[in-house]
Amino acid sequence: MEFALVVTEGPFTRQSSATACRFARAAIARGHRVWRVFFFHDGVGNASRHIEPPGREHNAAGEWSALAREHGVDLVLCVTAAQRRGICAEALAPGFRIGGLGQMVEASIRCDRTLVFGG
Amino acid sequence: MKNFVFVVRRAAHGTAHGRELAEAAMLAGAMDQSVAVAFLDDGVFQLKSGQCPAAVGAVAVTGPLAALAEDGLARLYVESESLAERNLSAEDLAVATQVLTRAEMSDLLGRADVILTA
Repeated sequence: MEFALVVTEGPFTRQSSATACRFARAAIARGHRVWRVFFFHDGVGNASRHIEPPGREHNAAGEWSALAREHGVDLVLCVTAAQRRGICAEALAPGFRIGGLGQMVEASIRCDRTLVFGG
Repeated sequence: MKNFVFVVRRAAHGTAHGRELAEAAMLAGAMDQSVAVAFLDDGVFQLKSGQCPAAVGAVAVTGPLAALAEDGLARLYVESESLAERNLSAEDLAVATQVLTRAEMSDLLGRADVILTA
């Protein structure tokens, strides 16, 4: 089965991003494909390469980057949501790219299931 | 074509969720998908007349929401129970919206291919 994920919460205050990333790994481990993860609303904050949690705390951007590197998952930010929150292309961690809401709709049209994490 | 339902459950201005979800609904409509926007719970306040967003430095939401329907990009639905629980009725709304009962809203969501919430 092909999945599209939508992450709508930021990297730290809520658990949504970490849950989404773990869901993606679990789905891939069971033979499914995560075709695209779209970051919308405050979810765009997960893409910042400046995230530096102390110690061994959850590093949202680092874990998403690893997922993209290991499994070729497409990580796309809503450009308007990103601009509103000061996330520019130069601030992105590896594996993320800036896109548009059309890519969220495209992913939902293509994939068998769309899951929203957050809200 | 897929059947999209965008679910708005929060009031306007306190969070940007409704406004950004409306932008996504517009995009889906422009990509020739079947699009509905459902207003539930505190989301019904998005539609209320008499808003003064400029007073809090915010942007009007009722105009863009009305334009979604007027431009044929999306159908707008509001839940009657959510209105009644907040002492509101269809006459209090600034945007032409079809009122559905909770059971009818459940059917709408049950028929959706994709449900996006915020």
